[in-house]
Amino acid sequence: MKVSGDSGAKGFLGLLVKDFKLIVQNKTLLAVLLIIEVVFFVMQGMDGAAFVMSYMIMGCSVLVLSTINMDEYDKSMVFLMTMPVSRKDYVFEKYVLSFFATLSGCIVALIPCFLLNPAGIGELLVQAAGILIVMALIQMVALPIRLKFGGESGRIVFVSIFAVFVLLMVFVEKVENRYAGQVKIQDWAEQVSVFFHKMSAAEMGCTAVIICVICFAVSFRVSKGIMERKEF
Amino acid sequence: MILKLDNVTKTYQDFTLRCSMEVEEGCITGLIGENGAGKSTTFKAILGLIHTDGGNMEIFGKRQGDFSAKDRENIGVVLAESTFCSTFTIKDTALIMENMYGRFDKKKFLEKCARYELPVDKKLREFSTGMKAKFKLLSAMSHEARLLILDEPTVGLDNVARSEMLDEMRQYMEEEGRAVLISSHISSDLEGLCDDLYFIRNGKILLHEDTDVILSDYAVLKVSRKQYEELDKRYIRYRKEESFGYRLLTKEKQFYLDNYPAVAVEKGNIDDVMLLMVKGEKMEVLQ
Repeated sequence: MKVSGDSGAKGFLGLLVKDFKLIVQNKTLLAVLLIIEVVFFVMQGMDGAAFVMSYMIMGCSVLVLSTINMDEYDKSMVFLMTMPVSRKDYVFEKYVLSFFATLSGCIVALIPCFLLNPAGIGELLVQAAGILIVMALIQMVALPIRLKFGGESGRIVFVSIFAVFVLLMVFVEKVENRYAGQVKIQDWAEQVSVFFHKMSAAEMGCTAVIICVICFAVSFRVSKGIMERKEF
Repeated sequence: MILKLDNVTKTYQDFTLRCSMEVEEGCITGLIGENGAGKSTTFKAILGLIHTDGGNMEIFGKRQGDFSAKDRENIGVVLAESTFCSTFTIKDTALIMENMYGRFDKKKFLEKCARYELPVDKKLREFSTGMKAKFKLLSAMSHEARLLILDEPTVGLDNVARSEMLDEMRQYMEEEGRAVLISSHISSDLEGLCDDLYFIRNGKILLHEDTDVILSDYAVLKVSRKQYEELDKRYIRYRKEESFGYRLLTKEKQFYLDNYPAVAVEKGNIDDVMLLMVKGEKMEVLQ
């Protein structure tokens, strides 16, 4: 029976509670994240703030992906899909969870920053927003890959995509060096960079939000399609 | 009608399910068959876990495309190989179900778990098979579902626990407007519980009969080869050759009791019916 995509609002809440419980169960990873945060701040002070923020946000993204592993662990996903949640609900909940988990990670990283240097918090917030956007974009690639290929293969595909991306960059550089003066890739990159630098903070923020929304729409649609085609 | 499957088909490389069945309100319907017969595929099709290739399905009068996630609050499920993530405790699952189902009664559920000596703070992965079976059944019945779909719910239960859980199911059915579709390898469970039975083999429903009819009208005849030659075979459904002659399945027990007093007539039961239908040779029956 194809179950229509109508959302079971209560079911959605149940999914969030389930995932929160799963994340809390992952005590080791949570403890490691917090210990590293403390160690970095003790050793580097405010100099390590950007790293700690990236680290915490990435750690929280991994925690969200690990909830999918746990859903698939001992076939519990099959039972989950018999509950009052649609496949669309399941996918959407993972995105919502990612948003709140990464935001929480960022806030946890910002608290010591605020305590150590309350005056510099404005600059740090801008930095945090930048890191959050980059991590959100990575998560929007990671989630559909994880849903499509599973844990182990998903990691391989994810790493492969980044490897291809890096190779592409190297290739572009080589082409540019070889045909110096003819192909002006660096100029184009600089023009894009200048274009963004000319923007006001508000314009840049709006552009980032629009890019994120478009990426979310595409990523969510792909993930939903993957989930709806799945058989258990 | 609570559930209706009309020629629902699903094709895999080496297996095709082609299933029509009905589960009536107030009835406990059993689905029996050997391993690989199509029981689990049927359950998965009903639960939307697989995409069917054809046919129609209605649950609570709603056609498949109209059945929403919210409607699934009315279905309680036990799956043979799956339940909540095994790192959860019963308390965790109660919290999840409380936030998942509108009519979940947390207090009653935890009381029932305590009554059946299920530890609420222990992880499910530390449960014995029997404890897990009890937990799965109690959770399926915890949210006032109108339809229970139970795939092998009594596996791993000892006799006492099995009897207790079957009583729970009977009690559950006392409320009006409910129905159960159940599969089990333990035929005595089904004989004592089900109102009607479907027998599935190679993805096709071979028999649908009221349990009472199977128990009262069906019989296994044990005949020598000579007796077989002289026997009126119009009502013989399946035949299996044995060292002593033949084992025969009939739905006309009384006919053979009245007309062939020398023939050994054994009262039919689910196991005999299944065995002869699987291992025996189908005969032309006078309708």
